[in-house]
Amino acid sequence: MSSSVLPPRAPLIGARELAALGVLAALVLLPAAGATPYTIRMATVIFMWAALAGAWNLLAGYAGAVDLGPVFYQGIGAFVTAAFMLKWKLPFLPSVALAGLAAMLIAAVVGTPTLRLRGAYFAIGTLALAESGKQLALAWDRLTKIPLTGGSAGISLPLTAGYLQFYYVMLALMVAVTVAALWLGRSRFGYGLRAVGENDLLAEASGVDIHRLKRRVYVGSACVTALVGGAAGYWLSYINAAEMFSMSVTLQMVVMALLGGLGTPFGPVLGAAFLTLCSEVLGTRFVYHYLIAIGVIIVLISLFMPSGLAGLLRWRRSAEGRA
Amino acid sequence: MSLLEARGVTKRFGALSALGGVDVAVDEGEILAIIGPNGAGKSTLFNVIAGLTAPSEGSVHYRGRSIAGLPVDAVCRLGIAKTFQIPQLFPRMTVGENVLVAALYGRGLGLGPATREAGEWLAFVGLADKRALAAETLSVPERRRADLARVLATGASLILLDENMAGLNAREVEAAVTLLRDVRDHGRTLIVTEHIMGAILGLADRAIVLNHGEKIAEGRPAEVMRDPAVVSAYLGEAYR
Amino acid sequence: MTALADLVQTLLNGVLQGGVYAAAAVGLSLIFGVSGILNAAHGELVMLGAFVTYWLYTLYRVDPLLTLPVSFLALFVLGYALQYFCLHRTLGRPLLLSLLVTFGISLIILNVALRVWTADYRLMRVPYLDRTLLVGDWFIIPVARLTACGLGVAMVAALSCLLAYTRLGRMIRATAQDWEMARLVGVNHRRIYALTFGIGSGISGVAGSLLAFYSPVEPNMGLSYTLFAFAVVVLGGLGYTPGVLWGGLVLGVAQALSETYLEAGLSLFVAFVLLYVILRFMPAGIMGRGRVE
Repeated sequence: MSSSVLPPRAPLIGARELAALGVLAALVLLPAAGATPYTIRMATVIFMWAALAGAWNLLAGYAGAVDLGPVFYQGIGAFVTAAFMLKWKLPFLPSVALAGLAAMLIAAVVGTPTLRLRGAYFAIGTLALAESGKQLALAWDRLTKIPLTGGSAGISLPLTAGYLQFYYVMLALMVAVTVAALWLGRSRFGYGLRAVGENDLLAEASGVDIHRLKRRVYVGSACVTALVGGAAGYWLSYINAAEMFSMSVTLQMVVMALLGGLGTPFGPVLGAAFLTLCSEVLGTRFVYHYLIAIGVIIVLISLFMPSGLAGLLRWRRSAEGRA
Repeated sequence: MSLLEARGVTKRFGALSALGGVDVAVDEGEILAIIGPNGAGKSTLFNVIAGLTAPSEGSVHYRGRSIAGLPVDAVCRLGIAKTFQIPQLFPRMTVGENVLVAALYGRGLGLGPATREAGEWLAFVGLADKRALAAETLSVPERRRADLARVLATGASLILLDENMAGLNAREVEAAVTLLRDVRDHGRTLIVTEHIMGAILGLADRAIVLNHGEKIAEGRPAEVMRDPAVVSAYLGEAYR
Repeated sequence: MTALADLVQTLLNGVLQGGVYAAAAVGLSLIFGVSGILNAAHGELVMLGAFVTYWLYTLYRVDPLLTLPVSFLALFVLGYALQYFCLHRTLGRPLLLSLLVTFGISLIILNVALRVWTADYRLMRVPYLDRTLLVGDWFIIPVARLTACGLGVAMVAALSCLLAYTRLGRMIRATAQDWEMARLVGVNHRRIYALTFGIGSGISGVAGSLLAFYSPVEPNMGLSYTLFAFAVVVLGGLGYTPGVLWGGLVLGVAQALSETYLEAGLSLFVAFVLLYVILRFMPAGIMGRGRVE
């Protein structure tokens, strides 16, 4: 009787997706093709940040909820992985998987009330969650008498010589979040989520269970972040609460997603690649300069690229002056 | 049994009483008008029925089931949807996608069927050619029509229209009235609030008049508008 | 008997800290109430004030009490400039925008401070403040904390008077309620916003200085104080300035209790739990006078 409400649906595998698959194949084959250990290590770092930024992007870019405490789950992932490997002598992959599960459970419990906060309050609430989580982690061993975090001294994990496994783990995680973002662009769940991000009250009035949708993404994001944390911890062979729960991790995730393009599937990858290469160039001598630069970037993007942040700022037609 | 029955609905905001013990009943297939001067409580009553706010006192039953205090999305899925006085959108999604969301979640359809539903309703309100444009590019009258399409796509049996015809000229009002009668013929029930008396006369089967949060008259639109209590409530307001 | 004495001492400590928290939070409350900006760099302003006092005393032997006006002035100028040149662009835009911009600013300030001063903890030792008062035989009140608390509360009171009774205060309140209207009656709203931010920053700086009387200072302390201040403001009621006294009291006492009976390093955790509970169950704050967004 009528024409379709959507323009003809983009093919599942279009030009963009083909290019991405090509790049993916190249990445998978890279180690076998004789890349240097340095290149592999750099790539692993980029994949790691792309996965982190990508996980953050799912909630912030699509659902419009700016989470300033995602590092909370990275820390959980790292320490739970360490606990399973050291105490129960489980191998790496099962430990990390269990850590992901633990993070999902915690995220479901913590996320349910937290996600009812909106806008800036959600942001501050999650920031407070991460910072107090850090404090709790630092005090945990003393407080509960259960040795889990090693306080300020930290924990050493079993050493491993292989760096290839991390390459593939981080690559897999990066691909997972990118595919998830691509799926959000064309699925029923994705439409609902994007509606929540654009105008949550209208979405609710149109029948969307906004809290359920946000919670699912929050839990999924937390899982990926925790998996990254677990893998990163094992890779570094040493973790401590102050670093694993540090806000500077959140900051970098945020900036990478913002720079690369919030609410786009490949944005986090681009942002991660760009910033990682920048910090590599600046080297360890300039770590404060790097962070200062990040601060400047955040200010400039926020002030002068409002269209870039339109997804974050959930524009509403009924002109609200301030909030 | 009435489709909707609201009894003794009271809504207080702090010390201010926006609604004081209002009774409303609507039968299936009816078009009911709720009129009254500004600040009479019409929008508040709508918000209570649609679940956007819970009543301080009183009950609301839909198809015999109590819905007062249920969250908005649950009420929508049960079959009640409301348009917005200042039309709301998902600004950067396309017009088509705006309506699609309602069909997906309000009506609960899968992606394929929902797409077809959304397309039909967009055509019904005459916005089919705008379906691929970003919603924020629509003009205000177009936004109202999109809002109506959205509400229709939710599959709601009871549709609340909150001044959906505001700002339309006489010709557009006539077209809107025809459209809404068409909606009723599709099997929906409407509750309408408007300041345009001509539209009310042409459209509504029955009218309720609110003033200061209380019902002061009820009956057929022509009779109600001649009621002296109603006339004095509107004193000074020109009859369109 | 000693259990009771411990409890009273804990409560005393909490009250004393609460007064300083109130002073450290009132700037945030003022700025939010007037310009609608949620200043994520608030704690960094407190930190800078603390360092002003620390360096003036340590390098030039300036009496700490005399450093307070200097701290106020320095942070006033910084705050005024920030608002006038940078933050005015966030007016009328969603809350989240100002949060992000100030977030970026806090990063810049923090890392410049780390670059210049390093992350070392530094503690001022001032002879005449280093003494303690003994109440009866059981209760200890360090003079440094008492002074800080007293001055902090006095500052909150002074600000309330400024807002209520002076011409400037009226202009600020008018702008807060309706800046377009205020503009129509001749108020330069951009300058008022900048003045407000300046005053709020100055007060935050002085609060930092007061903290320096008895607490170690280091650049990373800023983030904690942003979160504490936010908790205090929400507890006392958003936009309701005198509420910070209540909020500070509750937070201070809660932390003191947690420190005595649980574990020392849980200050933020306590603040978070309180913040959470209040946002969920009493969004208008303890006194119910706050704005609910």
